[in-house]
Parts: sequence; structure tokens; C-alpha cells
Amino acid sequence: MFNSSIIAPAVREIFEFMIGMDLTVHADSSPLPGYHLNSVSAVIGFSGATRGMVAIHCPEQVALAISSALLDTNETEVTADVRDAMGEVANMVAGGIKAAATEQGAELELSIPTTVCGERYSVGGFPSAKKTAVEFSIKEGNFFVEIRYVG
Amino acid sequence: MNLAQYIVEATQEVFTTMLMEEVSAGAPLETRNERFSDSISSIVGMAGANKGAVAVHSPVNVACRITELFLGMEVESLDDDVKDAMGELANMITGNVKGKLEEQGQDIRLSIPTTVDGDNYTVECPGKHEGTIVPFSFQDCRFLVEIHFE
Repeated sequence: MFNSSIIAPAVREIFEFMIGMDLTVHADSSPLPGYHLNSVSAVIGFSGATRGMVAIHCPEQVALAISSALLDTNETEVTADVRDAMGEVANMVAGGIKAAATEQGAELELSIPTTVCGERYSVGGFPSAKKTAVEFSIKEGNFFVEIRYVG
Repeated sequence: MNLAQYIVEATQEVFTTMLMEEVSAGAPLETRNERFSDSISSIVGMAGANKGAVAVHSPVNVACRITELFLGMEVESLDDDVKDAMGELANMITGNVKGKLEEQGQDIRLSIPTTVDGDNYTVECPGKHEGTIVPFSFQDCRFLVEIHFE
């Protein structure tokens, strides 16, 4: 259900129209790294027609660029403002995916976002979940949007 | 709504009934240390008309002890069993909290658990919502359970 043909247009629309950034979708995504290094991730849970989570995983320089575009500032460090902004980006991306799912007849409800950042961390859980990850590029680097879901 | 009380009751009920272990609750933390070292955090989202999240934060050695309670076998280091057990613990605690909130007329559905581990990381729930974090202990082990709810 949540394949790249749902994720990629939803993410592109959010970035172009709500954040004001052009991005490139990787047709052949690299594998999602097991551990994220010097990165910021924002995760939002969903439930309803199916249960799952949407996550955006960004290296710090990508998170700084996205946050700067969203906040119309020049962020140079991963501050609370940047972490909040990335939570908001996850909210918007999950909202776009929710809207795409609704068009396919699957009603979803979203949780609040959680942000994770650090030098080295993994984000996983629920091994039986189906997983899809799509890689995107902006000029500052690459990032992933991941969906895990059951049912 | 006393979120700390919900967390205390839910965590103690889950440990007593599912893990056969008594846990003591401390007073909710006044200041939250958002940085975790050599730890594992499991987060379950609450979706619906009312939104929120519950997180369990535990040092890796304590997560191994909790996993031993689940599996009844010795666990020496962080592996997939530990990650699964901590996700399941967060799921059970959140499910218990969900039941209590639904008794108060709240409409809640749960996401799947997300598990974060790392040497040095932060976990935050940004946004304007009520939240609290409660320390728990059993034997010589300490861990934290946190809730945020709109």
C-alpha cells in the first residue's frame, strides 16, 4: 500500500509548496542505513485502516537546510528550533501521506511527532512490519522518508 | 487529567501482571534530561481525536534485564530480542494508558512501536501538549516512562 509511488509525490508536494525547496527523488534508493550518524530523525505514528509510522531521517546539514527554509532563518546548529522544525516537517509529510492513503480509501489518524538526534543511533522496531524507504536529494545532501506498517 | 498517575498505574500493572516484577515509581522529574547514553527508547504514538505519545527510556543493561523478565533466559547484550521486548513493553504500557484514557471518554488508537538505540542521542516530543516523565526502579535497575498528550 505505501510504496514509493505514494511516498515520493507526497514528499515532493510538501517540500515544493509548503517548505519551498526543490528535491530529487532517487528511483533506486540506497538501503536505509542501520545506524544514522550525526543526524536528525522525526517520527510520527499512525493508526486507523492500518497501524504504522512515518519517519524522516536527515544528516545534520540536510536538517539545517530544511529547517532554515521552513523557518526562513539561517540555522547553523541543531538547536531545539531545528528539532521542532523537523517534527513539523514529519507532521506535514505524514499529513501528505495520510491524504494520499485517504484517496485510496484508507483512513489514517496521526500521533504527535517525536524527534531523535545524535551522533549515532538506530530507529527501528516491530520487525514484522512492512517497510518502504525512499531516498531524496537536496543540494545539501540526501535524506530518507521511511514507512513501516502492519495490516 | 493526571498523566503521571496513569503512567504509574499502567507501568506497575504491566510489570506485575506480565513480567511478575514489582516496580517502584518515583516523583515525576521536574527537569527532563533529553540526552540518553548507551540507552534504548521505545515510543508508541497515540492517534485519533486526541493525540499523544508514550516513551520508555532505559539504559541498555536495564533493557537486557527487562528482556530477561520477558523471555526467562539470560540476555547479555543489546540485540533484536531486546529491541523487540522494549517495543512490546512500550506497547503494553501505552495500551494500558489507552484503556484508562478511554474510560475518561478519550478516543485513542495506537501506532506500532518505534525503537531508538544509540551511544548518545536525544528524544523529544516537540509541540504544545501536556507531558510528564516518571522514574521507575526494580532491584538495582532504573528506567523512565514518559507521556505527552494533547
